[in-house]
Amino acid sequence: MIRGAWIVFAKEVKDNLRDRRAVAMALALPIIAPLASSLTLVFGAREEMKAWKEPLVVSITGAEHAPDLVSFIAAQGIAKKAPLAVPEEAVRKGDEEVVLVIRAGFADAVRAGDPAPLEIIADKGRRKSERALRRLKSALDAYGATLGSVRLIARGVDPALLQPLAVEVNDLATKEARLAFLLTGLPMFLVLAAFLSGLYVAIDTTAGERERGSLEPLLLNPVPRAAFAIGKLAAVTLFAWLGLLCTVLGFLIMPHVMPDDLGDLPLRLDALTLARMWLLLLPLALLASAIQVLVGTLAKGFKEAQASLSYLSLVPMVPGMIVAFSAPEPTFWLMLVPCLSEQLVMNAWLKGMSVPAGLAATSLLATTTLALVLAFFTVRRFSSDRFL
Amino acid sequence: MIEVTHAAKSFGAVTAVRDVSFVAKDGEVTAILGPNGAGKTTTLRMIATLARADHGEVTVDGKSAASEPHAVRASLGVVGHSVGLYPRLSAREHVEYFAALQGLSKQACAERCHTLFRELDMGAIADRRAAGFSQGEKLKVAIARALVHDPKHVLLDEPTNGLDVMSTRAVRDIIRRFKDAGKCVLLSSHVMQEVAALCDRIVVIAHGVVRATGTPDELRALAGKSDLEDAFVSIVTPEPTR
Repeated sequence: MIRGAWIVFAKEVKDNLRDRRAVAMALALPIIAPLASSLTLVFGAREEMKAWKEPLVVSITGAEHAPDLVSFIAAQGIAKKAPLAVPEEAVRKGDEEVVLVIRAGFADAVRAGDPAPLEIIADKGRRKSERALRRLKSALDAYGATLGSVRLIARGVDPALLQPLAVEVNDLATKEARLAFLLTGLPMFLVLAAFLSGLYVAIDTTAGERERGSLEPLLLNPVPRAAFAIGKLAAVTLFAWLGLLCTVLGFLIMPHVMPDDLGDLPLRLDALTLARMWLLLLPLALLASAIQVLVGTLAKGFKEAQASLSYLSLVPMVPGMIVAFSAPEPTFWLMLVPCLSEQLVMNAWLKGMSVPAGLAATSLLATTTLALVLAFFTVRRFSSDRFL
Repeated sequence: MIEVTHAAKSFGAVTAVRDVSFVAKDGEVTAILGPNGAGKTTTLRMIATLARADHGEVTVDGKSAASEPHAVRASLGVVGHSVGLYPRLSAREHVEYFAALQGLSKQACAERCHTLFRELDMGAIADRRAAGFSQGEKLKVAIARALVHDPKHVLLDEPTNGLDVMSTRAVRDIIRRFKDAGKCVLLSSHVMQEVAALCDRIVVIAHGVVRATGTPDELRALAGKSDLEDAFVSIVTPEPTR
């Protein structure tokens, strides 16, 4: 039995290592995932920085009503542009990022000490417009604060009285966005690697074997049917584990070859953390392989297997979405859900938080159990009379 | 010796084999001859333990295919209808894979490869990958791997189907050599010339039923025709009412 499984395993590994497509599939994510991550991070950060350094030119309607305001915001790096006929239209089309409209009554209201009306036309749905809006708004707020202080002083009141809090905003928007991207993206890529690395081998050794017509002669050999199932499953799992290892190594190298520094992010991306993540994902890769071999043996041919398994590979994305949007804390019950538990634990590890050993073990055990149950069904499927 | 006694096999509502009985002796080449859909492949599959007979019995050297499939398989070499090869493995690796599964030692396997490759004239393709093999070369690999454990019985399902003249001759030579070695060879075919040239005994089946059994001469006498093809046609028709 073990001998038979070993022979099948050795043959499938040799056979599939010679298959460019199988190897490409196993290496695709290890190369793509870290590359895509670092490119997203680098370009995302660069764009943000550039946007704040560039002068912002805003079309102002009714600038003549508030010359003080216009010169104040100009000092903040926001230049004036001629008014437009239909500013709403220009913003909606994206020709203008934001437009400032100063009404005729502005000067009178300021003089009377009433709230002076100002209108900003923006399209918050667009990133650039949203960014310009934030900049313009903060400049206007500064002007308003200055104006208010002057009025208070004129009435003999200390403006500090109206500022009970001294809030200093350290803008972490970019930093946080990068961190959030890595915290959800990295675990998801790793889970995806567990599902995709062995996919091609799974199809080739099951549905492919059937389609080639080599299944029947193979099963005529005097080896228990279970040995074939186990040997094939082991070969698929090996590819999944190796693909996963390469992906982990890719993420280990990534920070060192990226042009931008990740050093200031509160993120644990060291060798030890990544090694622990690899170990955590081994049972998940086994689970993925068991599902793939089972589905592959149920399919009549390569294409049928490929179609069903492609959809199946999207399933692990669902927990990724949950992690991204709600980020629940790892709890016992969540640890029972394969894919979700691994992503939650990895998420915590990346943040440098410690996960109770019991919880990580629960995740390992739950996923392993499910993987073994599926492997059992695969073995039974191979042994059934109707298999051929 | 292969014995099939009143074997029957249905797939759902379709009856592939209704009632087939015959004996294939050692040292002889026995042919199952019949038109397409007569039940030839199903009969061979029942012997090969790939399908279980609904009724009747199939034995190989007295061992039942139903109750002792492992023992039966060990004494059979089966070359199926479709010659499924692994395109990325060489001819030798195909044989080595099956030898290992048959439990042969490395050395026994090497010796067996040597013999088989010589007998099947496969020296030129032994270490080439199967991807570009011709139909005849593929069949040789399939025969070599099926016979790696030197089985006493050889089943061949339409072995010369799709082969050119040279390859057909080569395969016939191989079959004769099996016979000379004392093996029990059972093949299915719908090609008269082949059966006439090769076989000691012919089992004619149509619609899942044995119509006649005998040597080529006996069949000619039975049908009162001098040509075997005519004899075959007259035995197979008229069709029975279902």
